[in-house]
Amino acid sequence: MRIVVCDDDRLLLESLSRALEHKGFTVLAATTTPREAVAAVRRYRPDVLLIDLGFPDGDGLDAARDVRRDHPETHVVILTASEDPASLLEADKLGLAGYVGKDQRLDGIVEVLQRAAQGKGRVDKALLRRLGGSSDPVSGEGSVLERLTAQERVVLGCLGDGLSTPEIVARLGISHTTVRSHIQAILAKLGVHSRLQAVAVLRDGDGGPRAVGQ
Amino acid sequence: MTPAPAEGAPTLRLALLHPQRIWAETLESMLRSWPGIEVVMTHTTYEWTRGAVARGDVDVALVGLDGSGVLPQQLVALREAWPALALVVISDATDAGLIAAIIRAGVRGWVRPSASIGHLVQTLRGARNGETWLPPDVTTALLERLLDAEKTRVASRRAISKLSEREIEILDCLARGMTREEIGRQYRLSPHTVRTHINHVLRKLEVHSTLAAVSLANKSRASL
Repeated sequence: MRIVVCDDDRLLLESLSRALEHKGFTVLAATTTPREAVAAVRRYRPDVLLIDLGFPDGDGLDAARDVRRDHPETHVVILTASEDPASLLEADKLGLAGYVGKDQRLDGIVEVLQRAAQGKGRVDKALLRRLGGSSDPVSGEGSVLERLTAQERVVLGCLGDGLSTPEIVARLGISHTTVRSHIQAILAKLGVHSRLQAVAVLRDGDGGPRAVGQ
Repeated sequence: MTPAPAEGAPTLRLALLHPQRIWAETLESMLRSWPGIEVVMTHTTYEWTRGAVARGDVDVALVGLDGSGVLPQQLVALREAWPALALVVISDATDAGLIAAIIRAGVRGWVRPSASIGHLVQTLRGARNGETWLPPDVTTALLERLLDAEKTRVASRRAISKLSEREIEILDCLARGMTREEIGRQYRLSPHTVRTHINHVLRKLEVHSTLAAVSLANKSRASL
């Protein structure tokens, strides 16, 4: 299978590309910016583009959108360190072939790439349903949300709006560390393990209009 | 791409610790194939690494710091487990305070996540040989902090030089956490006299509390 890989962390890019070659993939290009990635797709027409989400000068989803429009024969898989509900939904909307975390084993990523190349890959709908809005809401979530402090609720609201940690820092004018500790507290109080799950509780809990992705 | 190992250089025994599994796993497979490097262990949590380090199986520990995983205190604990250990970190930290904390923890090699594998290997070898390899912007942040600390130290010393010998003794007692009564007993002074001395100290140092005076005294001695 022929792939292009893109991540601004060159250390990871180089070692991941090498590891994928050991697994039998042909890495046509290892690029560090979304712009280079799109150019490499145009030039090589790979089966799959594996691309990071956050770059200092661009966004992996923008590159994914361009590739889906101009080279629909190339499938796109997002590789990310963060669980950002908005970008997960956006990836689903774009019809991307996969969305994998950096906490995955290499074999997990290999599996996603193989499914993607066969045209069977897609963002996990079950995960989306579970995290985005459950069909059988657990009772009493309203009282769970009441355990949060006012500021924690504001931060949770930002998560619901799909903001990343740096964006929350910018919006609320508080430090990175403070945002992180608020998020830790939110996860602990809600008894969940990820931002996605916290946002799911928010949606189920208040039943209000702040549904993920709206 | 893979340079030959230096002639006669002993094998570098490496422990790899990174909280993100894909980093840990792919760096390991890359470094395993590198001549002159033996990857003793790879893990995503600190406790396991500490065990291998404490057994003396490791020359260099390569630790990924991404804000959520390993803390500076744990770097200190790794060095305490095996003082000859050379510590190298992968970090994109830019905050001067955090940089100083990481260096104070005993880190002697530092690579940015955007570095190349070749540069990482050079840094690992350098750190094993007792050298210090830091990104240029990290060195700048450290030097600025060092010079700022020096400026504060000079200013604090100048202020303290205005004190009499007795006032310096009393400031020293305060810095050691002694109460006014204890100071009075030590120097056979009445509580009133002790209070007068302390007031003079505060006025000469132009501060409003004994805590501020003690902090200034400490800064006159402090380093980085």
